[in-house]
Amino acid sequence: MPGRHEAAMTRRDFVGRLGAGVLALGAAGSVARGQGSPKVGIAQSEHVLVDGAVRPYTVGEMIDRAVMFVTGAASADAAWSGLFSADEVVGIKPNGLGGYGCSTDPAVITHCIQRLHGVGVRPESILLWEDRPNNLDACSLSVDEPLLGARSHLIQSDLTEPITHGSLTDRFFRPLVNDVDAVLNLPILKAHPICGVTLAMKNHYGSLADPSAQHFDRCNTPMVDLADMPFIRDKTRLVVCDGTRARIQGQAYGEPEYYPNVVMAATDPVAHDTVGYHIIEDERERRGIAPLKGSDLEPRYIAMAAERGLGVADLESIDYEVIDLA
Amino acid sequence: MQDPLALDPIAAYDFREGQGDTIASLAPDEDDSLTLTLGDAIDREAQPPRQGILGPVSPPGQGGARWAEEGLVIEGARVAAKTYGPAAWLTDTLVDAGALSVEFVGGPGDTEQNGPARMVSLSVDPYHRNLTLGQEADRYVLRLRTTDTDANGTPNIETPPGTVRPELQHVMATYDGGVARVYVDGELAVEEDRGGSLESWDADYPLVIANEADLERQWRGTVALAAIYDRALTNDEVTGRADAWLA
Repeated sequence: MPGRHEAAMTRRDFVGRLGAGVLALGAAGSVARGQGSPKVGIAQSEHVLVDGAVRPYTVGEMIDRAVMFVTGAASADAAWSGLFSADEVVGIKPNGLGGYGCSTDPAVITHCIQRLHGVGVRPESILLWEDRPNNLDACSLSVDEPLLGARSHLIQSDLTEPITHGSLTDRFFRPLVNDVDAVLNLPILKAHPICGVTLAMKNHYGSLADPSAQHFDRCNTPMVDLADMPFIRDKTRLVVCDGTRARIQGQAYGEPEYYPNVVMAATDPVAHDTVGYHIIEDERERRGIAPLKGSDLEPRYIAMAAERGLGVADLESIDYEVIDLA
Repeated sequence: MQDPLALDPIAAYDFREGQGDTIASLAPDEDDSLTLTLGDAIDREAQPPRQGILGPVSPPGQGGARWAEEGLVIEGARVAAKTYGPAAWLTDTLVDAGALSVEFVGGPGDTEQNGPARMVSLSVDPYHRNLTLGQEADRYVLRLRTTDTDANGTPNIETPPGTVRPELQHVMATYDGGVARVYVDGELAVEEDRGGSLESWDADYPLVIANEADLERQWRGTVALAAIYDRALTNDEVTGRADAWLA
């Protein structure tokens, strides 16, 4: 078994190779699709939901296939081992704001934790957090009951002093800033009544103390500054989006209104959000709903993030693939 | 009898068995400003669906509009029957009367289209209107501008949920100078006080059927009749009209 230092170098090299295409982009945020294009795996299965409930085995297989696509690994074990290592503290940010049925499903969270265990990450080195008790509850998480040894936290229990980056000043969940080595972001696929869509980048509004203060400019500028916070930008290792159920208009909570039956995976949060935005936009077009693009709800933050060098926002430059598990 | 002119409308359009790309008003057109044009929307060919990320994307309705025995069938996008220019005489006549009725006979394509999807409008864009009778999912909506409202004629006056059905319906909105009413199939569905007067109306707005003037609020379905009166029809008159069309 490789030593700690060797394992860390192997993982960093691997992630560095994944990110090379992104880092080479510069301000333009686009690159010819192919080598160097960020990958977004979209695993789809018509069997993932039964009577509205997620089937754990099926969603686990979807997560594995999507992550394998993103990493190019031949197995799920190799894929996760290339992204995380046993000696790391891993922070998981689910999304529970949408309420029951419209939040990161417990089966998604559980499978990800199991994969981290498979890499060798210790159960006590995995932590989850949300900003409200209801949001944890919607993901079937509890501060009183660890999930497979991983503890859940309410961020208000441990906040930093205010941190400023660009337009954004707020207090943050301290373990995210100080203790976590790697972040696993578990958003879901939702429209948003202020910023158009809420996906990976918006998910970290649950990592700061006063999200209501960060809705100026329809969240666009603060969201980019948030994504550019070093403890988010540099620690984000993987995004796994629960797209089994979705909302495509109106509020970001409530009953799902669209069932794409997908799980998306990406290491580039901007590329992830680009693909998620287009999935929502496609369904709006199918239903004859006015497009977000060109409206006040257009998610400008995605292109802004690409201009900041945080990832790729040009769909033509993203290597995405729909993996049909049938 | 389904006579569009039975109760003396000041503008009336019968879309049954139409042809070509123009629809003349059956009521006297005092200044030649009431003829409607469909432009290139008639018989426009459907576009093939584009490939989205999770499969083909084919918006509801393809192509434009086509003539049928029952009326103008609108299935596509960017379709409107509108006056060539401002419907100035129509607007001035209604302002002088201080009262009106708007009649629409048609079959909504579904109970999900929204915007509201414009059925009959005297307006210029999504934010400036004298009046609009439209559809918001399963409700009919009246926007009526007065000196007491904003330039968009809001707040909406809405019928109850479930009022819209995907079948031939008779919809009549009336305003008597103080109260606005919307009838569906001869039954009063909603009435609300609407204070002020029509003096704030703008005479530069065109008359538009089945869309907003900028073509961004499409209504899809089949239009049989649109008519405008310079008085508020009575309950009995509305019921009689509905009975004639729905019998």
